[in-house]
Amino acid sequence: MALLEVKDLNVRFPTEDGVVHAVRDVSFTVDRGEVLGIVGESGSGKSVTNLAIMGLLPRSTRIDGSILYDGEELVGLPRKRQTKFRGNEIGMIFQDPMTSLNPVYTVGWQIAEAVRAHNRVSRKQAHDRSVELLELVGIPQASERVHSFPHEFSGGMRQRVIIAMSMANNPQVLIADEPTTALDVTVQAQILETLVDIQKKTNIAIILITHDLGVVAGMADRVMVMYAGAAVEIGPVDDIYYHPKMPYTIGLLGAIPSEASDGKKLRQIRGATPSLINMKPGCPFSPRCPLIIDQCRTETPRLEALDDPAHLASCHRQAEISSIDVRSLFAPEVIA
Amino acid sequence: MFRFIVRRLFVVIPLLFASSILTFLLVTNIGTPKKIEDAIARPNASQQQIDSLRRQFGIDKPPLERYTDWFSKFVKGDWGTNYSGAEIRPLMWQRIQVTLRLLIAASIMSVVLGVLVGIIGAIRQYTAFDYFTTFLAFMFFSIPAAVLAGFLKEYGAIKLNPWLREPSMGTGVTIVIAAFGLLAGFLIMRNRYKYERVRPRNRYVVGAAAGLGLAAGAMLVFEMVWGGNTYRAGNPKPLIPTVGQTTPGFEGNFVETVQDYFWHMLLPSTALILIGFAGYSRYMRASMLDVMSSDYVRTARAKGISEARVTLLHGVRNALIPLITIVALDFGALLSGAIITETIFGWSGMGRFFVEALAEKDPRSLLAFVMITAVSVVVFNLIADIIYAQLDPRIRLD
Amino acid sequence: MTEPADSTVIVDDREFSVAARSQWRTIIRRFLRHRPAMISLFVLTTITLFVFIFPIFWEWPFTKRDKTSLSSSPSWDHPFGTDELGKDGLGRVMRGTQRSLEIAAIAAFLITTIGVFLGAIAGYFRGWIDSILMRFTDLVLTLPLLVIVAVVSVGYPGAPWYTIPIILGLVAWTGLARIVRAEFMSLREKEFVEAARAVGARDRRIIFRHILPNLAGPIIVAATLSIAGTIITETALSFLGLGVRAPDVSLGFLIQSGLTAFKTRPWLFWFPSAAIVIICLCVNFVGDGLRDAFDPKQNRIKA
Repeated sequence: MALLEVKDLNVRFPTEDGVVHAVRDVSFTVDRGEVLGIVGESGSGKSVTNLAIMGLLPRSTRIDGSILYDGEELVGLPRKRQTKFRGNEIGMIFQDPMTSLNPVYTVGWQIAEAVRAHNRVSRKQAHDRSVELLELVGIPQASERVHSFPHEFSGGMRQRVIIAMSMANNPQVLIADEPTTALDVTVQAQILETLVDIQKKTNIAIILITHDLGVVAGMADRVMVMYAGAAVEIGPVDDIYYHPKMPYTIGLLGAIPSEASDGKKLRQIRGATPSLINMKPGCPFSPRCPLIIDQCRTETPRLEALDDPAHLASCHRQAEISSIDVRSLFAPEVIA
Repeated sequence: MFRFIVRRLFVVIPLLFASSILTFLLVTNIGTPKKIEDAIARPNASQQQIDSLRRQFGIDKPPLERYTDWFSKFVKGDWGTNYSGAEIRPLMWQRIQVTLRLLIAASIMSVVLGVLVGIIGAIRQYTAFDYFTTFLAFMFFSIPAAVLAGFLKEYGAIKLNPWLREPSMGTGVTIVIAAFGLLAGFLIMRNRYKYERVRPRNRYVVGAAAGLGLAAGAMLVFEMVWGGNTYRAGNPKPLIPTVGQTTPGFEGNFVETVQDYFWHMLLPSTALILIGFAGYSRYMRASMLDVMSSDYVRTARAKGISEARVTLLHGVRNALIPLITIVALDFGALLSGAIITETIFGWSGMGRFFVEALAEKDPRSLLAFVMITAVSVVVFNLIADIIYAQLDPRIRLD
Repeated sequence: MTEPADSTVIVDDREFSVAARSQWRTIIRRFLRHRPAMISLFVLTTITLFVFIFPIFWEWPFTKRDKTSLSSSPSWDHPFGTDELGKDGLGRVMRGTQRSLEIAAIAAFLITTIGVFLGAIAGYFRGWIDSILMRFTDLVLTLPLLVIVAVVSVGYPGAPWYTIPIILGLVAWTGLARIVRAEFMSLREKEFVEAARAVGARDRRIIFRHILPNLAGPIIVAATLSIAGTIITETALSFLGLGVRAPDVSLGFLIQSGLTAFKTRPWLFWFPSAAIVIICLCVNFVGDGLRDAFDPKQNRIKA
């Protein structure tokens, strides 16, 4: 049985302009010890999905569907029961390390707080555990720095502290929501290395959310591509990168500058993401898709596998895609 | 810490010096003291008398000399005499003590009340409680101190005292209070969510019943303990006084003296508290909302700690910090409020001192008053900075 | 750029199902949504129009004495009662409201102008200009507003009413100046300023055309709230006998004289008090509505 099973998840927010349907019928699984990369543009629903797993969405949000963690249903749990999982079985780290730590408490205090929230241990034990965790993430002179305040650390170090904090109770799943987006490239590499390191040591499952395809390629076992609140393609990382079956994925991959595109115009996907309010039927990507047929406008494609059950795509024409050189369809020379 | 204070003194002392010059310029601008004006207006005024009066008030010399004369004496503690010849410093000291009682009580209560209401309003945003307290805050923000004090004097004492003599709950009053309890309990539990998954209807019932029960309990207690009684076994003096800060010639033990202080202080401080609470609750609410939507609160929640702990240790702790500065800076406004309230309630405090000095146009009294005010403001700012640094580790004093 | 024959439709109505709005329209729309603010605006406008227009038709101007009804409680002839000299309550309250509103408007104008000007200069140029201005602000701040204004007013016993808002305006600008200064200090570092300079824009243009419009929100809000503050301060001043002097009236003056006559003629206190409270309440609500409208971080989703 998979460690985390999300089935037909729907998340709706009421706003002054209408109901925002941020996550639409999303289903995926995460096994123990595997790294799932979730890729998508801003607004694709990748963060909201994971906030729903953690139970961190505002009270006015409407969540339908099922999230099974180790067999237990998380959707509909009263908030008090949710805290049993949060920070304990499932940890989450966020995007901006500069603002994610409370400035008035020491780093050690904040990590110890995470420990004592779920375990009855003495202050000294929690303190020792803090030092241990700081060492785990590679903070030098951990036993002294445990008494430092967040503003005394650089961005990369703060993110490591946050990782340490999330690992405090040995969770089985770590959700990393764009952990490196706000950091320099060199620091990015260090953080990712830290994550890989932890993953090897503890065999923890990681859900890595990012819009950076390069990052995902390096770390993930499987990849889920999201667009306009829905999952449009899921599969093993190599399959996705080398044999993508959904035009959006292809467009994304094609948009990465590389040596092959040196000197040429960059490929882009024309148009913009649709609004998530009052969505019309049909494939949400259809306005921008070069392979569009009539069926795409009226019928929403389902996420299904063709021959390989591990690789699912949400496109009416996925059977034909492997035989067309789709990448050229996004080439600027054609759509110029 | 010590070095911090020393460094600040380098700023503070020149500031106070400049302040003294400003003060002096302002005060010399007020013209001739009233006593001298009266003397001039009298038909048989002799130039000699007027001159001696002018010497007495110290306004016969040129401005620069007056300033240096006054300033050098002032810093040594000699503040001169006022228009009726009384020595200013001991007089002011007496008055300050009275006003300080009022200011401290009003400050503490308004901050405590404002902070509590602000916190609850923020975490229960858009509920009936929030709307109600917001409206109250706006109301008290919009009432001049004079109006509020006058209102309290009339309805808080003059009309209330006779009822307090022979208190009882008429049937009409009972029904009103019961209905109020029911409504309040119901409204507090009612929230305006959209898409609330589990709609706890029984929550409203519980809330309404609790409100009703509380109101009924209060009424019962009142009837048992107080109903039909005249307090102090027939003592004719009003329970809630409207004039003065103590009962003149009052002799009693410590508890009785404190009680006396309390009853006299009740109305004037209520006026100041209500106005102060308005500002602080709005500010605290905004600060809490800001903090509760911050990234580090989200991290705290993600750690799985209880919502109460998140709200208190992460939310309130951070939301309070900017409030400290506000409270300290508000001293000037508080003093202005005290001036008015003391006048209406007949207290012999600093406010009365200022009003009298203004009416008499007495330069030395005014100089002393304004300088003391300036010094207090500066001192409070310094204290606020120190407390702020203690609370926020990003600002360390070194 | 030619479209190939079989090109797909790139833009279709699915993309923009919510109408795009300009920034000002969003702000105005948010303001109109704020019910207390709209109601208050309506009440305020009604009151203002009333007190400036109705006296033309009302037979009892504020100085005329009705010798037939001295100290009478509210009646059809005199809805707000009369005082001991027979002067009509309604006429006096209307005139007082006029005066108070005029004083508030002038003071708010001065406070805004001075505050924005000094704050902008201090925040934009920094350096020694900033230091001097900040020290000056600190100096003004060492004394409570009421104290300064009171002491200054005492020196001019016969002064016309408009000296009050002038003095207030010269002293009360410190809060706004601080806010404007802080904003300028942060905005001047932004790229659009650098860009403007690169194109050759001079300082004055940058200040007024580039940075200042960003502050429209906080400035408007502060100006609105200073109106209420001024009315309340003027009341306090009148209480000390230093506000508007007889025979002219302001709401503060009426309240003060009403307080002394409270025992026997309470209506002389209540009506001007109600007027002040209602006006200030409305101004504060409008200010709050404006603040909500300008603040982009507001969202009405309950957390």
